[in-house]
Amino acid sequence: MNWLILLLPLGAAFLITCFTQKSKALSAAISLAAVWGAFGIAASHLPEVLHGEGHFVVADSFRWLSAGDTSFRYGYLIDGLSLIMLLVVLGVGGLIHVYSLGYMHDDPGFSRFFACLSLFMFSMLGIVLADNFFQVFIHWELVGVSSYLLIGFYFRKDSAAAAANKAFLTNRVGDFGFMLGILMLFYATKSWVAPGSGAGDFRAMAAAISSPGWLEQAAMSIGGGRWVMTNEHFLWIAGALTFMGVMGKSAQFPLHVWLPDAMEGPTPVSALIHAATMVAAGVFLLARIFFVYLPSETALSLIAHIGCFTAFFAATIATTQNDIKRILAFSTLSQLGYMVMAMGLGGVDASMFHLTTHAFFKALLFLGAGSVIHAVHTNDIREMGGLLKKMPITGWTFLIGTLALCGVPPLSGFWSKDGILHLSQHPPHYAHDWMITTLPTITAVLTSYYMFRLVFQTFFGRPRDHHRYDHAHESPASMWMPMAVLCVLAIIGGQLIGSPSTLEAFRTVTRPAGVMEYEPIHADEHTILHALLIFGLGAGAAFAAYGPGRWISPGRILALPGMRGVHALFDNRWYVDDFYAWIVKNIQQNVARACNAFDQYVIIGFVVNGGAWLTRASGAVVARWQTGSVRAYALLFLAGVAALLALKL
Amino acid sequence: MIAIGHWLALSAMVFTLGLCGVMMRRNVILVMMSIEIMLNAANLALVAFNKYQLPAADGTVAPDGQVLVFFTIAVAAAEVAVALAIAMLLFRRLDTVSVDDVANLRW
Repeated sequence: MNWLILLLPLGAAFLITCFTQKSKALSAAISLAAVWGAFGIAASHLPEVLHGEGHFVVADSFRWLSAGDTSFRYGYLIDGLSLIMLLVVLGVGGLIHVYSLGYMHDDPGFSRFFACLSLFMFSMLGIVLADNFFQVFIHWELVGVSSYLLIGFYFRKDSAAAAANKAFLTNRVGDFGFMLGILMLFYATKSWVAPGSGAGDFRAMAAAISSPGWLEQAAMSIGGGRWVMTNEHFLWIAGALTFMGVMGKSAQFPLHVWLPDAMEGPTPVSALIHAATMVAAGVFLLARIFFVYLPSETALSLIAHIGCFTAFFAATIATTQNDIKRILAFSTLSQLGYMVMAMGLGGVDASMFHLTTHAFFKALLFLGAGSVIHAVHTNDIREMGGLLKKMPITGWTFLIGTLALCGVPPLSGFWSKDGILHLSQHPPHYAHDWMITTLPTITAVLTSYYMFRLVFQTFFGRPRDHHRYDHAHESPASMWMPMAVLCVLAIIGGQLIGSPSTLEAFRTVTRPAGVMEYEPIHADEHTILHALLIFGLGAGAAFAAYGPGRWISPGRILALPGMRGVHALFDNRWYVDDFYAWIVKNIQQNVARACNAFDQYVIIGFVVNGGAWLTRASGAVVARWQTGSVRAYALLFLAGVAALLALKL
Repeated sequence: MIAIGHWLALSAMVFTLGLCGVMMRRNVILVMMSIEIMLNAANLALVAFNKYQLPAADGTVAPDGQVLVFFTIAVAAAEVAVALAIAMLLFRRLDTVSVDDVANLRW
């Protein structure tokens, strides 16, 4: 039965691709049935998790292939952690499927779109369900491929094709490190895992790492034991390499560059893979393999700092963007930074909690943005304005999503984000520095600022482009209904999980064994005031600059000394993309030229053509001996025998 | 007293004669005859070895050399049958029996 969670989306993708391309209705029906069917199966486990005693685990696997005494298995592992992820992926994904019915309605590639969506769901679910590293890696790459298909869905547009390439290649960089990390972990734990368990099995590997004496054992030694590397050091390198994969998929600095460009895909795709699922895969993986990082404070500190920096960095960029989807993309980057940082600080449950609520409200915001784009046919917020009157449902749900993202009590974002902020203000000793304690709070202020900058320009004030404004209209029911459902989740999702009793249940199901405890969030006056203060600062600044009154014009702030440089820095995304472009142009291209020259002159010119030349030349010489004269052959034969005899004697 | 050395010297001389014939003669038939002479020289050496071989522990002498000679004769007969057929065809097609005129298989 549980296998169906994986097989339904795969089967749907297969059926649509092979048989029902012609029929839009049938393709959509198959895809929707698959995702909601899988959701039903996953949800049927929910009572067991919430009310069951001890740790809930369902698992099954079969041998996929074996090499020597190593067997690779393919299976599923459903425990509390993966079940929550399943429900988020399938629930939010399912709503986005429904939304796509309306959004993609007139697209000629309607069936292809649903086939790609189903393939993506299959890939993603494989990561969530995987019980070993190698299966994760396979699905990790499958997610890369299917996101490539979805981002490049409008493949006739050059920018979309380029964005798809960029996403794929950037992820490849991370995946290379990921693969190295997996192989290192496999190598170091190989002789310690229980016999009979598949290669890279999470549970066997976790047991091996936590078994006494493993950390001190030498992983490798060079020069007859003169230079010995213990498993402890080996583990932190492997952990950092594995984290590279997370950096790619969850778009952490410096591998974040693909995500904003990936907005070239259709908006439901942005909502699905850049809010709720694909980017969350990295965070989920961190939780899944937390046993790797647990013994290594160096690795945890690295993760915390990268996450923290990404959160701040992306938030600053979001303050200067004008493309509605790009602002949301950078906001996603920023929130993912929070989650990764929380992982690094040991707050696995806080991170997973934020992942869940973020999936609700960020999907809602993306769907709202899609609805706006659908109505006014532009992405530029400077050409919008006053849309709240025209599109009340979209406007109000978007506003609620924004408030949730800003962490306004009692919406869902407050519960999860404040947990993370609290964690960052009381960090563990290995990450106790100014960066971790101050940047997340500043980021939260920036979040309110850029989100309200977006809201004020889009939904309030006077319309700036009357032609677009006049044609704007509310979206069809298939589009606003999923938004309404997500809106409800964005409001109550926090209390559902965040109330003390269920929060405790959530903690126990998501927290891997051995993770440090942290103070639970109490919604007391202090926390609420703190959250409101952060929100007020950011939203107030946005109101002053972009609200109906426009008290401070942005131009006057820009005129302040030094502001122009800061603005340029943010507007150009801290020049990271330019830096990469520079590297590609000046270093990568030159290396490529050198390689090409080596190939042309040494490989082709010398080795390949040289071999051919040698054969031809020696052939030309030896061919002369083939005179056709029988008597000459006889003489040569005699000479040969004589030579042999002479040698022998 | 005729020792094995005499037989072998004779065999070598006959063999050399045959070899010279193979290399010097142009007529296909004569080349074939020369080859036969070389084969017979080898046969002579073989029977000589058989005659002078030391008896085994039980005093018997194995007829290995004689048997080999029979093989050689049989193979030589077969070879001549094929070679004469080739010579016949050469003569019919090219109207010649000189090996120097048949040198088409060259570079």
